[in-house]
Amino acid sequence: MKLVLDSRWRTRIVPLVVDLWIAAVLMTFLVLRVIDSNTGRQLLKLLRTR
Amino acid sequence: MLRASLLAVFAVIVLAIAAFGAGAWVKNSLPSSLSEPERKALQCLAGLGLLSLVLFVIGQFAYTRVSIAAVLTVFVVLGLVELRQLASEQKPNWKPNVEPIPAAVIATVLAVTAVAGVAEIIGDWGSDAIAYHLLGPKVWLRTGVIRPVADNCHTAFPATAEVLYGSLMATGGERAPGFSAVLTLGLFFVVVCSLARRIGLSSREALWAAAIVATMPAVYNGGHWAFIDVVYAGFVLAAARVGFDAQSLREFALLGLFCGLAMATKYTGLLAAPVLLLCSILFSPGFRERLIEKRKLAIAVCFGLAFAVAAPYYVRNWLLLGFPIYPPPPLASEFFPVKYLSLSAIHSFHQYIYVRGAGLGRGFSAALLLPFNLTYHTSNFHGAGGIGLVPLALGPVGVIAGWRERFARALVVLGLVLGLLWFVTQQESRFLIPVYAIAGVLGVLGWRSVRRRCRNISQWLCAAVVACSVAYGLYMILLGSVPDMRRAVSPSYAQEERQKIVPYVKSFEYLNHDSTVKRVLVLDRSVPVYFLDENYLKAFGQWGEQVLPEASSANEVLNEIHRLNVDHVLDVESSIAGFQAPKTDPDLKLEFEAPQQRVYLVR
Repeated sequence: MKLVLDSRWRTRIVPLVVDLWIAAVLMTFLVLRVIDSNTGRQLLKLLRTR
Repeated sequence: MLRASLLAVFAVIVLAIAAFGAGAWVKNSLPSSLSEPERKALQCLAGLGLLSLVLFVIGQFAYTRVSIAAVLTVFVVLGLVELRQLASEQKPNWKPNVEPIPAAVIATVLAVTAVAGVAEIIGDWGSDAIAYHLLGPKVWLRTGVIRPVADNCHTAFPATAEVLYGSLMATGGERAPGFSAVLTLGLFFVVVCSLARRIGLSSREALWAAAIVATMPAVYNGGHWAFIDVVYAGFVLAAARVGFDAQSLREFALLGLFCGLAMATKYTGLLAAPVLLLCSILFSPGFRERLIEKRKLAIAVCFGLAFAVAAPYYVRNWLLLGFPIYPPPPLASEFFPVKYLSLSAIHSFHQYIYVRGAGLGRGFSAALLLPFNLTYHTSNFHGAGGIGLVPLALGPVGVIAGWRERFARALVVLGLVLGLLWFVTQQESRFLIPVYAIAGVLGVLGWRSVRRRCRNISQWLCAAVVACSVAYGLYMILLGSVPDMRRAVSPSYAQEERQKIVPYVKSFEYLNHDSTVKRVLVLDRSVPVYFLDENYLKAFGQWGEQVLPEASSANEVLNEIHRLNVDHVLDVESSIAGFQAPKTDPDLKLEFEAPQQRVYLVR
């Protein structure tokens, strides 16, 4: 049982966590860049006025 | 303009050859695990430091064009002998094994640096290059001796890079220090490659590590425009590269040399050197596996050499100014009175450092958020520039992947301790360049670890992270360099920008072109005297320095004007004070006037 868990941990869970982490870092960067751009600022302004 | 640019290029080539010659004696002490290009780069880096040290020691007695030329000639001859030997050893069928994309990225960064580097460095008193990195060398050359400039305490800082800037100015004019960034950045990238290879990355992956570090705007900003932080980081990382593998007395001596050079370049080296020595003792095979019999001797040699290399700068300060570190740090300033700076001026300086050094915040939560803030909110950090996504996204994976390997572990510990020291002292982004480079290298290790799992999605994510980092960083560097590149190629634009950016430029032009001007009294402390080509007396310095002990105000200075041996007075209306000399002063005759600036002749 422990071996199966260990194996699953190594082959599935750890890579999944790593992928999620990398994706989160990347997405945060992209979202912040969009918010920081002129289009993003205008969009935020529009959302606030509504 | 072309002549000035070519002269700058020539001076940097001469300096590189001389450094290669000066570093010849360390080549036999370099670890055998280094590749041939890495050996040459470390030889040249050590040579730059040693050459500067020789110039500094001789410069205490004579820092003239003749003395500089004599020292350079000796080392250039040694360098040419080394190069000749190298050419005869070169294998005819040598083919470089390089990854085209990172190589192109690094080449682009260096090309941009080269073009922008030949533009004249301009700015106001807020620019460190203008305020002291270049002011010191210019004044030293004019006076023919290296002494701290009384009106700017920062010229008493350890000056390995500044002494080299002075020699570049002597041989290649005022544009040469800017162009020297090509040499120092190039050497730094090779050191980064060397660290990457040592932790197990292939040559191609190491090139990616260098490209990722090269496109970090925070690193680039500390490496061009006569900033000295990349030179300092080069010494720190070279010390790590040599020290963590040290197995013999010679290698420990080399570690001591690089630690000493770090301390002789920046005060922050005083914090980094003990950490480097401690990490080397903890992790080097010489100690861990007891490969060195006389381990106490190894430590003594290492400490001794580090001290000997750095000592001239600190002993000079102690003898001339009253304390080895000038301005003295908190506590020491209470017990050691120093020249030119009153206790209240020192306190104001400490307060400034404390406020500016708060950086991205102090406290536990700020420490936890630091990696995120450094990655995403760099604009909040005195416009320091970003470090890309690789350190945050892939660095932690690299730490886990490399933890079992001794060298990588040592590098992680070094990065963490240096980061912690930086966090609790002065959070200036440039000071963290060694850690950024380590984070970049570990990021590539993490990238390889993820890539080896062969999951498509992982590979795409990593590729996107690296692409975003490199492309965005390169774009920011290019964007920031466009005005400099334009100034380098267009004389009319350069002149236009000079008129716009250099404060009181009209007065400087008037004073520099008037042959009757011998010594100018400058009344306002914000005037960037770097642009003045004549001797000057600035009664009050940027950080509250009081050059004339008996005069504490402009009025008192003007009352003593006939005893000051000055023939002209530059008075300005600045952001911190209005005009200080009355137009009706009987001792002064107004010679030149422009908006916010007046030049008087002393009757």
